[in-house]
Amino acid sequence: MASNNSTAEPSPATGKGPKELREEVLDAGLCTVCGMCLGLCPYLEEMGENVAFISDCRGDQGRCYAVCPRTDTDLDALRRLTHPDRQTDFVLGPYESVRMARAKDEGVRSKGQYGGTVTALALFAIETGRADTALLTAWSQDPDEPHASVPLVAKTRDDVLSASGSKYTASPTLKVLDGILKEDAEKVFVVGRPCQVLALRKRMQIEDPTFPGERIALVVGLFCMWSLSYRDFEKMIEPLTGDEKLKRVDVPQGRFIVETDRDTLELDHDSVRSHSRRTCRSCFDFTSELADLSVGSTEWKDDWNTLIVRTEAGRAFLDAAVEQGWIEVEPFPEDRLRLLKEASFNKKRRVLEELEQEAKKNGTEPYLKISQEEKEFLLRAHGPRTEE
Amino acid sequence: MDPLEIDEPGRKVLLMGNEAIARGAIEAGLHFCAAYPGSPSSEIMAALSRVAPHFGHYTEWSTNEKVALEGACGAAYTGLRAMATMKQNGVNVAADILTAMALAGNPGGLVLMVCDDPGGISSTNEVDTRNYARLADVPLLEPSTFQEAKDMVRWAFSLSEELELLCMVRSVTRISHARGVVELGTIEKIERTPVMKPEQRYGSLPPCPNHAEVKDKLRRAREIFETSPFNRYAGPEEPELLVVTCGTGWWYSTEAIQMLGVADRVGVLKLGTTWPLPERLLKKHLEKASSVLVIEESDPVLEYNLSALLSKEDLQAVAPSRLLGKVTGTVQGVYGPGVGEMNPNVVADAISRALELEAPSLPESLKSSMQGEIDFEIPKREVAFCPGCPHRASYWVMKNVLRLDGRDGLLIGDIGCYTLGFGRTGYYMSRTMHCMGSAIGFCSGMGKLARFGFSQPTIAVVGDSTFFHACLPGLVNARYNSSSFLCVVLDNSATAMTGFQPHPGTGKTALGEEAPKLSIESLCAGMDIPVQVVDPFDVPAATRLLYRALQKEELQVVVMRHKCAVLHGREEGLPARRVWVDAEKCVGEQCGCNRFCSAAFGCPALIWDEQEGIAAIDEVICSRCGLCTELCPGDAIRITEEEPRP
Repeated sequence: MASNNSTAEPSPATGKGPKELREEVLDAGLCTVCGMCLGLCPYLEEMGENVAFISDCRGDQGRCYAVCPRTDTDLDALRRLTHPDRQTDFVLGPYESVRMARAKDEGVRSKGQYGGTVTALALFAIETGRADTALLTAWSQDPDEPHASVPLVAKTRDDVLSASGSKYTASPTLKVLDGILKEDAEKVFVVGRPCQVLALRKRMQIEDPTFPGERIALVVGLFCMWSLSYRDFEKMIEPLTGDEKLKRVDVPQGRFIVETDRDTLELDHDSVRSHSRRTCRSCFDFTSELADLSVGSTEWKDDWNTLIVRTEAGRAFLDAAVEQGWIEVEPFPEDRLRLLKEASFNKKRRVLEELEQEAKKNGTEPYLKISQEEKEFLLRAHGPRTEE
Repeated sequence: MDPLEIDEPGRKVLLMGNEAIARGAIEAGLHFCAAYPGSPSSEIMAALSRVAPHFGHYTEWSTNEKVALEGACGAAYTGLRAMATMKQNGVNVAADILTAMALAGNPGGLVLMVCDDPGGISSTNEVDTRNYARLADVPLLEPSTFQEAKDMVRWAFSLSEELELLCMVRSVTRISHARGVVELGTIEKIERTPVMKPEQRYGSLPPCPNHAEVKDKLRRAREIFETSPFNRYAGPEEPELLVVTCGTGWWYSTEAIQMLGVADRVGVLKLGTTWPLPERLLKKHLEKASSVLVIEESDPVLEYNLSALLSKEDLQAVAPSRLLGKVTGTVQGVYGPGVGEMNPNVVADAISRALELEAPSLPESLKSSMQGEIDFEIPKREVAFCPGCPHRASYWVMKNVLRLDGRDGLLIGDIGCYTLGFGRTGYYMSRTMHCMGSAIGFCSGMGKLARFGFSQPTIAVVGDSTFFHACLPGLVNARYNSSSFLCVVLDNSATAMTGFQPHPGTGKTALGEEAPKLSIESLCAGMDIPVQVVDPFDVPAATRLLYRALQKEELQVVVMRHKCAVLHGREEGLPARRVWVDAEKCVGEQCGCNRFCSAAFGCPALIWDEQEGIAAIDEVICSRCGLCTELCPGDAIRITEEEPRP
């Protein structure tokens, strides 16, 4: 996805900037900690998965606002950008096919979450030269923050493997993207949460000569229902694990399980979920609709993932990975697809209703702009709708 | 030769007021002087320390004013002549021992030399310490001239010995910090063997008999003051208006009378001994005037005391029909009566009101000559941290940490250079600013409020000198009572605000000699308080460390240590390198920078080149610390190891 290089200066052209970002997003508790704005701006910083303006910027419009996944977002315009030839499915977003997928290598599978598909895709990208850098999220190596998740700039197989496994707090992974593109990354394979995929696509949408969008090799989006506030997560986990590192965190079907080297702990899912970020309640996108490939659990078979093929680039990448023996795929059963769509539909409808209500109450417009047709589709149904 | 060392009685020298005070003590044969620095008093100790090797007296920078006065008191108990010097805030710190020891008296001459700061030019308040003289029952002298500053201090020692009572001398900024001609006197050589004999006991108990004895000493002081040459009258035999004044009030009154051309109508009674008041002298002058105007700096202390005196039976007869001053609103500056510094215009206004004259105006000749001299706008200069000041880096880090923390955390400030954190230079971060060590006490209290639902994390900010001065009891309290907050010690290795005096952490004495260097870390460790040290110039490391410390809900100390830029410059000179802006790289006002260096960080050496639309370095004031090179988002601020351009 090439950015437009026609102007000399970054031109967000939203008419909004730092003041609105602070009011509409940061102060409203809607920051997703995607990290996209952090690499653009010295006024914005992150620590402990909190993002704040460390000083007040004098600007009246800025890229910070334009790229944020919780500011004015014209979803159809973004879909046209990423999926120019594809019809949008109102439930799962634009996609070509849904498959069962997993890493062919059992070692990779055992390190990754479920089928280890994302790890295998990243390895395929790095080891076949499709990308020289993979931007991933790993557990922190900092002994002072053993339970934090942090950006990982992977250049080697070992790097990629060190980042495998899901994290349930919000790493600001995209904050290093601008920096690595300026330094030595030629082609970057990016893995992110739905909010990060959205932010990255918004970044590619604006006119900004400082951002070489064509050097993003592939965007893999994760399925994500909610993520936790790091401070709250730490408060819950620290008394149980002390400084011990987390080996694996999993949320299988209404349970919350944490593994360390010594122990496997189960926390009460509902009380954990009560510490999810406020912003996750405003998220419309469970399956990373704007990614090239989206990956999540199957909620069914523990050593497989669900994989949604969305773009031409994604399909070509997957085909090559399958052909060269990195990934194996199987058809996705119809009854499982119905359940996946049900989950996505329910989240979309709930969020849409809340956004509409809140906007009405505040006399504002919801941040998310979708077509009337899509809105009516999502709101008119009384029960979960699974197929058209 | 140091003018303080000149042993030629009668010779006239130009001395700063504080040097005149020091000379007065030297002429009195001073043995011991202890002080805590603070403007406008600091130069007295500096001067005495300078000439200590020559005269053999002992000087020390004490850790605080209470200890300084106690040290001087100890020396006086052994029969030596001793003095403690401090600014007005310091007297509050020393008040406990001041009010107690006066009850028991002292054999050796003991002088409390206080320099007040009317208008709070370099202070957080404009407390008038003359109130302490009446509170503690000690005699008070107030010099009006540089000569008097010397002569009064000299006399204060013998007065103290005569009364066996501490004597207080009060100067103000315009006496202490101005210079004038002083005629030197003889330097007394007082050889004494300090000893405290078995019968010498100094206790304030029982208070009432002791108190009665002090009152008797004050009656003797009053007798002595009746004939003191420091009290004098000038003016017509029977003035229409009698100005009763003291201290700098005498200068301003003299100038105002001259300005108004009313010397034939107004007389001036200048008092140098203002507590207790010389009754008979006052009676003599009051008899001849029906209107009295009291002119004095700060509080209406003289005015109240005079007014109280007039209620005595033998004085009621001579009471003036009009007693004018601050109480009547006759004397007031822009902030109203009793607030702000006195000046000739305020006095001229008051005299005009008292005489019912037209509003005073400057003589035409003076006006025209002044216009020629000051016919331009003086550039406004903001109160700010110096270029390269480590406190700016520390405040930058603390601001960022509190913003990133996102819980509306509070920075509870204190007194020192870092007081400026109250203003723009410290990003308005400081939420309190009162007295030394109080940040610790405030946070100690706030750290116990969780039970009421208080959830804002707090950072108590103190300096290194302040840490030794007044923070230890507060930290002990916080530790003992399990209070929870983060104490940040901004250690710039100097008592910088008051002029780089050494303190217990610097390893130097007042004489510049080697001394044991007390470690803030060890003291904290001794209190079992977790302590970490970080260089504020390592912004990422300092930010991480402070942020994480703030997440732990327990009492902790973080020492942010980096030497004061001015001190560093004085000791080692400017580094032979140049900080400059790469015009090609400067992002300027575009999104992604927006003048980050000058608008956000705000070091005074970072300026904006309006013509080019890029950042620039003011090389005249740049300390070449290089911190801005790390903060610039465009890597446009560069540093090269070379001599700066001429």
